[in-house]
This record gives sequence, structure tokens and C-alpha cells, in this order.
Amino acid sequence: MQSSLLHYSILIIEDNLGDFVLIEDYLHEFLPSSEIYQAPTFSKAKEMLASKDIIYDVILLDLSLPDHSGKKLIEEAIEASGNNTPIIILTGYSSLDFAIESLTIGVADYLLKDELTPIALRKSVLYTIERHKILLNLKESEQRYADLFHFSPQPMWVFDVETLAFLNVNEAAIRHYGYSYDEFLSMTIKDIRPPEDIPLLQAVLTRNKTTHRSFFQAEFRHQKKNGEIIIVDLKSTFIIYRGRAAKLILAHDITANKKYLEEIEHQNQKLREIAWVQSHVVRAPLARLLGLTQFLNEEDLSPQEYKQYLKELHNSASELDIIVKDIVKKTHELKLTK
Amino acid sequence: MEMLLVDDDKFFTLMAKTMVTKTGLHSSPKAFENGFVALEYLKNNYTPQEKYLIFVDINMPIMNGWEFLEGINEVGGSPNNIFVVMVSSSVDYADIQRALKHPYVREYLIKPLSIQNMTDLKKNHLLAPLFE
Repeated sequence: MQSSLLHYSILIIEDNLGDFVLIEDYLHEFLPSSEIYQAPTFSKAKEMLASKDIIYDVILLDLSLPDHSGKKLIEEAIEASGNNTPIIILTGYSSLDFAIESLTIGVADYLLKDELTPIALRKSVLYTIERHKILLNLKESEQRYADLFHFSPQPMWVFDVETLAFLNVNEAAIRHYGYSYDEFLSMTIKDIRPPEDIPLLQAVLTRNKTTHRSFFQAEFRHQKKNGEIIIVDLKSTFIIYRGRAAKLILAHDITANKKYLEEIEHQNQKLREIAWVQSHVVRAPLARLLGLTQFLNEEDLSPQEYKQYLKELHNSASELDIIVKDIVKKTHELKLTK
Repeated sequence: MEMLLVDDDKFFTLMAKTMVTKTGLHSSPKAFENGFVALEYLKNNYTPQEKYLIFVDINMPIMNGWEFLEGINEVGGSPNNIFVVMVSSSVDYADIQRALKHPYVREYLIKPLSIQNMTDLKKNHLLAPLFE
């Protein structure tokens, strides 16, 4: 890494001017274009951090300041930095054990003043800043994924493959199903199925277990907290969630679509029936009526034939009448209101 | 040439018979009241040297016109000596298209039949082999 080109802002919280100058010198050796600031007391440091004029990349903190020291100092320094700037502790032999312990509180690294060399300082500072950057990226990336999950407009959840317990649910799921987050987390996925569909769920789970498919999609019936049954299109994918084998589920409520489609199909069916009836049932007696009138025009009809044709004429007309009434009734059932 | 009238409407077959004989299309057409009895008749009486003109209705009980067409291959003849004319009250374009796609079907007539229909059939070149 070409550290001479790096431009960092470094805050040194150190009351001993000799120590400060030494550290500053060391830093300038490998970070010539960086800005170095000094705070001789903790209260001054707090002030500088609070002003937010400068965003510091790293803080070097002497553990014994005139106005503060020890564990409390570290905790307050972390707080003053907004828990957002990595801190390297500078300490003497006397508090080495404590310095090591401080790593667990959230300090990035510690350096022994008596053994401080430019190389040790360089390694610690650069390493700390880079690591912090990576951690920040990782956090952002985790946050992005968490946001994608939580702010997704479609209900999503994660459940444990073994126990079937909900491990996480998003806002949309909470809104859609009516259970609170805590309620969800005390339930298993069986609890959002209508009781009669549990055997189906079990069959699907067993099948998916044996086929080891990582991606799965199907339609299922779910039951909301208020008892309402909905039809959902479920997409699921296998994930490891907090060390557990889990499934990430995306649920799309298609109840309305389904109902709409069914209505349209029902209407289409009725329309087809009507078309068939018009063509085959209505036109049959009508065709006969037309044919009969042709025959009645013939001049060489016997009285019997004439009588028979008239009877047929009446029969056909009556048949037509019944059919028309039937169609009117069917059309009424259709309720073509939309 | 043998002629069959396949329709469940007895009055229709009566009128059709009158027109067929009057126009000289055929002197003695036989009437059948559904596809099944017509097919049975053909299977039992088919002779390869004979030519057949068959009027078939679509909507009939027991065996309708479509089912009759499905079974017509079993008669033993071919479109070379069996000529089917669909005669239906249906004006549905889908019915007409479907009928005319069948190799045995040469014409689709919409009820009621008229004298004009009969004289047109005699001039129809697709049916010409019948009148040779």
C-alpha cells in the first residue's frame, strides 16, 4: 500500500507533549499527507469529537489523562466517538493486562509506549483503519439485506427446517397475517395453515427434504390471525440463518387474483353455453319454422298434411318460447353488471 | 348411389326427403335418427362399389354428428366413395370450420334446407363423383 498518498485525519488524545511529538513524527513518516490533531485532555477530545467538523479515521488514546483514565475513559471515548471511529490505546507496562482486556470492550488495538517504533505504529494504524472500513462495509451490506427483508412490500419470513419455528418475519407479514412479531416468533409455520391442510404441509416438507431442492414454488392455503383463509403463491429458498438450516419464504397473496380469474372463467363458460344454445338449441326450432313455412306455401298439400304442418309449426314455436325463457333466466344468473 | 339422412328431428327428415326426391338428388333416401344407428347400418351394409351421400346433423342424442365422423373410418370406405354433408341449425363459425376440416365432409348446410340447396349440391364439384 502506498501509504504516503493516504489522507487520514488522526486524533491523538495525549497530555504528554513529548509523547505526542514522537507519535506525530512517526505518523508523518509514513502518512505525510495526513492531518494530525491533538487533544491534551479528555474533555478537549470530547469537544473536538462532538463538533463533527472533522471526521477522524482513527483515535490514538493515552490511557492516563489528567482528567480521566482507565476503563471508564475507554467507555466514554467509545461513546464520544459515536462508536464509529476505531480507537488504539497507548499505554505503559503498568497497565498492559488491562490494555489487553480492553480489546473486549471495543478497542481496536493497543500499543506499548515504551516499545513504540514507527513500524509497529504504522502497522497498527493502517491495519485498524482498513479493518474498520471492511467492518463498515460488512455492516452496511448486512443492513441492506436486512432492509430488503424488512421493508419488502411482500410478506417474507424465515423458518427453522427442523422445528418449523419462525426465526424472523418482516413488516409486511406482520401486517398481512395480523400476528405481532413476538407472536410469530412463538409460532411454527403450522400455525398459519388451516388445520385440514396440515397433512398436505407435512407431505410437502417431507418431499422437499428428500429431493433437496434449494428452490421451491407452489400455491398453498394460509390462515390469518382473524381466521380468514387466503391462497398464497409461496417461493422458498434454503438458507443458513444464524447457524440453523432454514427456509426463506416469500408469500404472495393471490386470493383476489384467483377469485377474479374464477369469476371470469365462470362468465366465459356461461357465454360459451349461451353461444352453443343460440346456435344449436334456438336455431333448431327456428330452422324448422322456416322450413315449415316453405312447405306451407306448396299448393299440392292434402288437408292432412296441412294440418300436420300446422301442428309442427305450433310445436316448434312453443319449443322456441321455452328456450328463449331459459336463456333469459341463464343470462340473469350471469349478473352482467360489471 | 345410396343416400342417408341422419337427424333426430323426424319432421326435418320428412321435409328433407321430400326435397331430395323432388329435385332428383336421390329417389329413396334412408332416414336414421342418430349417428349410432346410421353407423351400424353402414358397417353392416357397406359395399365398396357403392357410393354414399350422407346428410348428418350435429346435435343429436346417443351419438352426435361429431362422434359419427369419428367412427366413420370404421365403415371400411374412404372419402372417395363416402360423401358427408353436415346439415345443422348451427350458424357458429367454429362448428362450420370444424366440420369442413374433416376429410369426409364436403359441404356444410345451415337449416332450414331449401330446394336451392339441393340443386346447388348437384352442381357442387366436390360431390361430382356421386353423379357420374
